[in-house]
Amino acid sequence: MSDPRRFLAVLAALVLLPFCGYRERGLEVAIDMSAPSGCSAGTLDIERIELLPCPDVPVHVALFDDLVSIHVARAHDLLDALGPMSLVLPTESMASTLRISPGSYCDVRLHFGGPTTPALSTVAGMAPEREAVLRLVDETGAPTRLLFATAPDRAEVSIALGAFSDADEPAHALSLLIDGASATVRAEPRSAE
Amino acid sequence: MRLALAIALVLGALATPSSAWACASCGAGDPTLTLAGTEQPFAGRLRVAVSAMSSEMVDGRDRLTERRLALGVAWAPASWVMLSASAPLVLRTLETSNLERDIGLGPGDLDLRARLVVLRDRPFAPTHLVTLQIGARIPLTPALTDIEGVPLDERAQTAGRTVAPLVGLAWSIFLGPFSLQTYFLATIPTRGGDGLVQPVELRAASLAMFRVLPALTLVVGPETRVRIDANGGEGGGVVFATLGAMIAAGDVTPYLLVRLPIVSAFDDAHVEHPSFELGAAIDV
Repeated sequence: MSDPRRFLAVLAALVLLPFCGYRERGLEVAIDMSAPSGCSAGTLDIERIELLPCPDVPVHVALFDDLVSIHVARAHDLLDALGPMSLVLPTESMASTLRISPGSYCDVRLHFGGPTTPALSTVAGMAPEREAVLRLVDETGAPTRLLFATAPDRAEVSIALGAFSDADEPAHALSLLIDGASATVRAEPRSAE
Repeated sequence: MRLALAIALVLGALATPSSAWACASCGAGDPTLTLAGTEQPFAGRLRVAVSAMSSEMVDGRDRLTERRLALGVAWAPASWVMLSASAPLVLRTLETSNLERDIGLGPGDLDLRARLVVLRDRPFAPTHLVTLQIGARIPLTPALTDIEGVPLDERAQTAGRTVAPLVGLAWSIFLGPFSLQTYFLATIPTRGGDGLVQPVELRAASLAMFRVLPALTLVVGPETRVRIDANGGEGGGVVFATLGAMIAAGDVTPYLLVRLPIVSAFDDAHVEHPSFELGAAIDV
């Protein structure tokens, strides 16, 4: 075989190599937001949905025979922000997935933007009329958390918007239902302070 | 001749562009210039090279590792030009902070080049040799996806998205057992179908080589890589200290190279780790 032909033969072999892709899923939280019938008609612009890590966790260490309490400030731990998206009420719904790091999560924060429906400003916990922080509580109303260890896991969060135009009962303006791997919890807006 | 081949090995490893725009050290082992060399071409020469390379980087809390096996061939139809083609088989693993793993396996970019002698101080055994390189990097693999058809993370892709023309200039100085290679290479990707263009990549190296024994050559020198993102995304640069050794064994020249990142100035949280390359060139 002549040199040019050898050249071309090797070149052809280089091009015919195989290829494939593989993904092993990690920690994910599926978000499903819906607007049940009965709520006000309008458009809700959502800039971002976040799962917030639980507040500072005190860590006690022994130092010179004294116990020193160190509060570890945990940064917001978000990989995928959901949004921006626009939800046309009352009929639309949306679904997406958040990827999060191992840890425990206690709150969900909704960021609203754009020309939202005016009644949204009456929702408790929105400050300054742009976001709502929902604390995860269990069925008894006690605070709870979504806990993710260092193994692939998945949880589902359903956010049902409804009756948020009812300014007289802001506590029910937003409701959040979470179906985790081991527990069903309910979230309510934190009181406006 | 042996020293020239050794120089070609190292300079080729340093100068070849990467398909991994998010990873400065990834793809450093592509052996195209290993074959094309820095010495004056000899008409009719055919050369084959293989190399294996391992590199790693941390991007924030994400970790990208790359294993690369490259095969290349070069042929000189005349004494003033060397044509070369090289393609790697790439395995990339991206581990993100949510415990997700993306694994891509496939060919990288086909690297086609022509090396042209543009200046030499004498016809035979020149002390100074200046060469121009023109070519292109052509992606061999479509966007890799998972089993559900969702594309893998860009950092786990084994090849670039568009054809990338490249141009380079090298100046070689040969002084007995000592030589100095200075090199510059620019890779400018074309615009993709999505309207975006991958970052421009500039590489420069100045490499000193000492033939300490008839069969042993040591290599040391800095290598700089700069990335410029026209889309306003991440950019920056990194400087590697390159150390290596080559052994002359008949028609086969094995070599080992280690690249140690000593300066890193990326816009984001990139941290390059040392990379290792083991390879050999064979004159056939």
